[in-house]
Formats: sequence, C-alpha cells, structure tokens
Amino acid sequence: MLKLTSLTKKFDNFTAVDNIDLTINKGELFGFLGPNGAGKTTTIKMMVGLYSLSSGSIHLDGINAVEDHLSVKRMVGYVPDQPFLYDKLTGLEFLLFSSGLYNIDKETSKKKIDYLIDLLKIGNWVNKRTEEYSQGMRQRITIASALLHDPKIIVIDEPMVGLDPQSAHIIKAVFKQMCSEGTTIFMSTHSLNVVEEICTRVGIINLGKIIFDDNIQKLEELKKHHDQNIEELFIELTKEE
Amino acid sequence: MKQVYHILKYKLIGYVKLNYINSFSKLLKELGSSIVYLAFAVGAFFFARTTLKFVLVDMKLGLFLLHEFLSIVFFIFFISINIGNILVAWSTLYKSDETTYLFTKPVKPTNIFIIKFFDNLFYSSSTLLLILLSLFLGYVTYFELNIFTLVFIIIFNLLPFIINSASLGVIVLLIIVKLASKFGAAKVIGTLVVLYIVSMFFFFKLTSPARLVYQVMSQYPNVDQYFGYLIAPVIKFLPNKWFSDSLYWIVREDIVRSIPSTLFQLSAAIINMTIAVLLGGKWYYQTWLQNISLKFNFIKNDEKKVHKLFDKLISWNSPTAAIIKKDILLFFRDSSQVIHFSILMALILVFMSSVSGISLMNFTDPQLIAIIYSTLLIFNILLISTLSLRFVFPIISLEGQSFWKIKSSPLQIIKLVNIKLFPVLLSIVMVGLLLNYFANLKLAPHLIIISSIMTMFVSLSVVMLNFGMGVIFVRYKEKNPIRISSSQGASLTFLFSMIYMAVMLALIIFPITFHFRLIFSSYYYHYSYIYMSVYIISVLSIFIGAIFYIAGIKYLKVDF
Repeated sequence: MLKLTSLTKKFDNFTAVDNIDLTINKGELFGFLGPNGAGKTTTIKMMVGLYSLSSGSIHLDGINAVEDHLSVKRMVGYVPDQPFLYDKLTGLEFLLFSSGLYNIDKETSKKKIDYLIDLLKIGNWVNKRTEEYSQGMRQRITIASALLHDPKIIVIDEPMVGLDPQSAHIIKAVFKQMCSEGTTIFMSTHSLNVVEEICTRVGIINLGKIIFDDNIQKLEELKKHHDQNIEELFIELTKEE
Repeated sequence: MKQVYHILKYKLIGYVKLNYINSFSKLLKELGSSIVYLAFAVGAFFFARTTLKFVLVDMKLGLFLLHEFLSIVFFIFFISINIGNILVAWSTLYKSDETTYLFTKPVKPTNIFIIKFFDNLFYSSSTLLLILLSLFLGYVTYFELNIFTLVFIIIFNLLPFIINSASLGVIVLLIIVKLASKFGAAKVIGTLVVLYIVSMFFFFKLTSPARLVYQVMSQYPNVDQYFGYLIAPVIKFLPNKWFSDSLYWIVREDIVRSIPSTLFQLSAAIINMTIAVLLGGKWYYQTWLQNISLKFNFIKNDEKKVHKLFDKLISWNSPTAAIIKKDILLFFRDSSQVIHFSILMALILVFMSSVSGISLMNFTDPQLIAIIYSTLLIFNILLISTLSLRFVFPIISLEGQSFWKIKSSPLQIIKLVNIKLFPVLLSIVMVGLLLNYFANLKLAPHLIIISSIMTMFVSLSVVMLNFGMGVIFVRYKEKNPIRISSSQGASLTFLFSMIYMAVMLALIIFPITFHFRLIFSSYYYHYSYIYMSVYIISVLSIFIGAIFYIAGIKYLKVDF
C-alpha cells in the first residue's frame, strides 16, 4: 500500500529525515511516534507533496509519489498539524471548496458533506466563518475535508490536538471504522494512549531515524519485558545519548 | 515610556535577526535589491532635474505653476498615505496577533497604540521616503540650493507632511470603529468612501490646472511671481498647499515667507499626532474590544444570503470554479480589499473623465502633443502597475498558511496559477484599455488601436512581473494585503515597473514626436517607426512576462 524507501530530507546541512524505510499495509492504522523535532511532520509533508525529497522514494499502491504526484494526491486525505483554514470562508464553504479541488460532482459532494457534518457533529457552526472557530472546530472541519473524496490513505499529523474528549472519542471511532473498511491511516501523534488504544502498528522516529517499527503487540511485549508503562518505554527508547 | 522602549528594543532585535544575512542566496538577494534601489534613487534624482528643466526651460511655465503642480502631486500623496494608513492600521491595531498578545500583558493600551502607530508609519513609508529623498535631492541641486536646505525641507516639511497624513488616517480609523458600533460598519465605511471621493472631486474641481495655466500664462513673462489670488481660499488650508508654498518661497530664497507654511505644517502634524495619541489612549482598548463583537454581529446577519447568491452564480464543482469562487468570496469579505479597490476605481474614473476632455484641437505644438500622448500612456502604465502591485503581487501570499489544502490536492501548479491569474489579468487589461480609449478619444483617435496593443502587452508583462515577484518574495504569514504590497519585495517590483516604464518611454517618445511633426507639417500620417517601437515593446513584454511567469511557477514548487 504505502512504501517509503531510503527516504531522506535535508535542510542545508541538517538532516531532518535520515534514510528511513517503512511499509504500511492496507487497512493498517499506523501510529507514528517521536519526540519534538524527530522528523514526523517532515516525513508527512514529503508524503503529501508539500516537501520535495532529498533522496529516496515514496510509493502508494505502486505509484511513485514524485513522478505521478497528482494520482497519489487523489488517493490521500491529509490533515495537517495546524488546522489552518481560510478565515473568511465558512466551514461549509471550505468543505465545498475542498470537494471542488477533487472534482467531486455536486450531488456526491452534497451527500458526503451532509454525512460528515452528521458524523463529526459540526452542523451547529458549519455556516459560520472559520475565523470564529476554536482549535477543535477547525480540526474537525479539516478532518472532514480530508475524508470528502474517500481517500485510500489518510495521513494525519497530530489529530487529537485541541479536541475535547467527546470530539476525540468521535474521531477515534471514525478512524477505527475506516480501517476496518480497508482505509489505511498514517497518524503522527504525541498521545501514547491513543496509540495504545487504536493503532495496529507503531513506528518510532528519533533524530530522523526509525528506531522501532512493529505491531502493537510487540510494543506491549516490550512494556512487560521492561516492566514499564508506555510513557516510560517511549522515553527510554528516544533517550538522547 | 519604559515599556515602549522595551517593546521597541525586542521588535528591533527581531527585525535585525529576520534580515540577518546568513546565506549566499540571501546575500545575492540583498545585493540585487540594493543595486535596484540605488539605480532607482539615481534615476529619481535625474528624473527630478529633467522634469524641472522641461517645465521651467522648455515649457517656460514658471515657478508658480510648477509649485501648483507639485501641490496637486502632494495632494495625491497625502490621500494615498492617508488611506494606506487607515487600512494598514486597521489590521495592525485591531487584527494582529501581536496586539492580542500585548493586551494579555500589563502593557498600557496607549503604549501599544504608539508602538503600532510608528510601526505602520515607517513600514509603509520607507520606500516612499527613499524615492522622495532622491527626488528632493534632484530638486535642491537643480535650484543650486545648499544641503542644509535639503535637511530643512525633509525635517520641517516632508516628515511633518507624512506624519500629518498618517495621524489623520489613524484618527479617522478610530472614529470609524467607534461609530461603526453604533451605526453599523457598512454605513460608516460607505459614508467615508463617499466623503473621500467627494473631497477629491472638489479638490480637482477647485484647482482646475487647465484654467490656472491659462490665467498664469496670460501674465507671461512674469510667470515666476506668486499668484496667490488665483487659488481658491479653502485650498490654502491644506497641507499639500503649505508644503508647495514653503518650497516655492525657499526657491525664491525668501525664507521668511516660507516660514508660515512650514509652521502650519509642523503645528498641524503635532496637533494631529497629539489628537491621535489622546484618542488612542481613550478609545483604542475600548474599540479593540468592540471590534470583536462587531465582527460577530455582521456575520450572523449576512453569511447565508451571500452564500446563496454566489451559489447561483458559480458552482464549487471543479478546481477552476472552486478557486475562482473562493477568491471572489475572500476578496469581497475583506474590508481592506473592498475599500482600497473602490477608491482606486473611483480615482480611475476621475482620471478617465479628466483625460477624455484633452483634445488635439487645443494644441499647435506637435512636440507638446507627443509629450502629452506619452505622458498619458505612461500614466496608464503607472495605474496598471499600481493595480498589479496591489492586487496581483499579494495573490499567492494571501493564500496564507491555508495553502496546504491546495498544495496537497491533485491540482497542477501551472493550472492553479492560470486560474488565479486569468481573471485578474483580464480585469487589469480591461481597465487599461478603457483608460487608453478615453485618453486618446479626442487627442489621437487614430492611435487608439496601436496604444491598445501596447497596453495589452504591457499589462501582460506587468501582471506577470508582479505575480513572479510576489511568489519569489512570498509571505504566507502576513494576512494584510496592504502590508504585503508595501513589503521590500513589493517595493522592488514597483521599481522594476518604473524602469520598464522608462524603457517604454524611451522607445515611444521619438517615433510619436516624429509622427505628430509630420501631421502638423504635411498632414502625413507616418506609422512605420511607431510600428517598430510597438513591435519591440511587444517582444520585450512577452519576454519579461514569460521570465516572471516561469520564475513564479518554479518558486511555487518549493517546500511549503
């Protein structure tokens, strides 16, 4: 499904992502963990076409994300770490604008938007300008805009930031359901509880390198073996020498 | 004041660090900018001297008319700075994250107001000051005045003039926000726009340059003396008139008679600034809070109606429609865009109606007609450049940090650029063609088609220049279009436009002069030299346009 091969990103002399390899299969909910500045957002931005690659490759369903970036973008739903929206548009207008970018016809777009408004409980304020929204409201609109075109893979950077417990619960349930229906989710997060609760696989990145990549059961085994909780284990794994 | 110094100190540190040259590419960029600024400063210096020689020696219009023309130019400057300051102050005083941050700290609202006031003033006037300095240097050296006179003009006339205009802008803004909470934003802003347009209309009606030229020239050769009685009394109370009068008496080496105008200017600047600061202390925090509730009320009433109306006109269902619709909605929901657009359009209409009356029948000197024709053409390009700088240069920056949505969507960059540029290009070409049509309607109707072709090519290149430079100097974090349009990159772009205009003038002035000379001497309409110039201008425009279009697309592909 998603394959990152020797993926590297350099900013002048600084290597933010250092030769990483990852393969994520269809229907997996991949939790991408790492401390601040580890290279999570950089990896994600390369996957969605916001950053160029310094070297390596990204393939989605066998399609090279650099050579045929438009085809890959059609298959990806992206939720950034900061939910920036056009301040002067309403939430509904932003969703309609997003559906236009993916060439979704009027009827399908309307049905899908109605469904997502209901699913993410955004009906009460969807007709207000986004400049009035709280962080959580913006986050939900951004998530809705990423789901509009039925993407094969959803790439999410910090989805739980700013969400109240009710919203977080809704989002987690949506993700689990989507994975069970065959959608792949690549989720960067700081929330170790969320990883434990919903992810099927976990990758940990530190200083631009992948230091752990296995299924959630393996992480549980490691926890038991070291007699630590997940937070202690994470700190141990990402400890700087 | 300790708080003000403390905040200013850290603002300065931030500015220095932001502009610190830490890479070779940045060094090249800064070096390139400095060379262009320097070249333009030198150009402005020689432009001032050449224009003065033309008006005083070739046209023999005399010192009085020269300074009356300067008074009109200063009036336009005054209004531009004033309106610019209202719009910039609106976003920096009421909408910036910095003020929100400062209001959460124990900082006096008056101090925040003073900091933002000077921030606006110097931010939006720095390039203007550089150009004005060069122009005044040209002015002072032409009249063989000493360097102290230049310092006197800058410190006691120019700076107070700018402060006057800017202070008045801030006062007007505070009153708008205060009244808007009572009467509604749309009504207050609408009334203000009408007031400005009416004032401009009456100013031009009262000054009537054509009548003044006729009256003064009837006194020839005594055209250097002061014909104060020809000026409408109300005009004598305007800062632009004080400025031009002060210059007039300085040139006449009668410093004593220049002092009253200088004192009026200084006093008005001090009074206006004091009123601005006092009103700021009294109303700023109060109106800052009001502004938030005002915004919310406006939305509740209006949003669904607008949405339904636009839904009928344009759908959202393709990338092209979605982007055009989004851009239209964002444009018309941004008050600074709408106000500036309305005022610029009003100015263009005033210009159109003024120039449409210039007739070939009024002149007997072919060289003068050639100069008027070229001046109108250049003025047309200047307007195209101003519109492009204001509405094309910020076009990508205004996507802001929300640009992730488009950049991560399956839309080719080239398509995005074409969708965004085409409507603006079309509008600017249309304005240029209309201006060109009215300017030549009675002056040179046989040249309308040729001028239209030039206008189209020039519009194309100027729009592409602004687009390309706007992407190279993109500022996604700045939400204010006026601040984007007065940034370093924008100033550089405008200077490029001026250089391009000078090249155009050089290419067209001689064929046009030759053309009118032949008409007057032998009734022969000779076009081949003009065709050649138009051909060169067209090729040059396509070349410049293509370079900046490609550069813009290339820079749009860099990491976001």
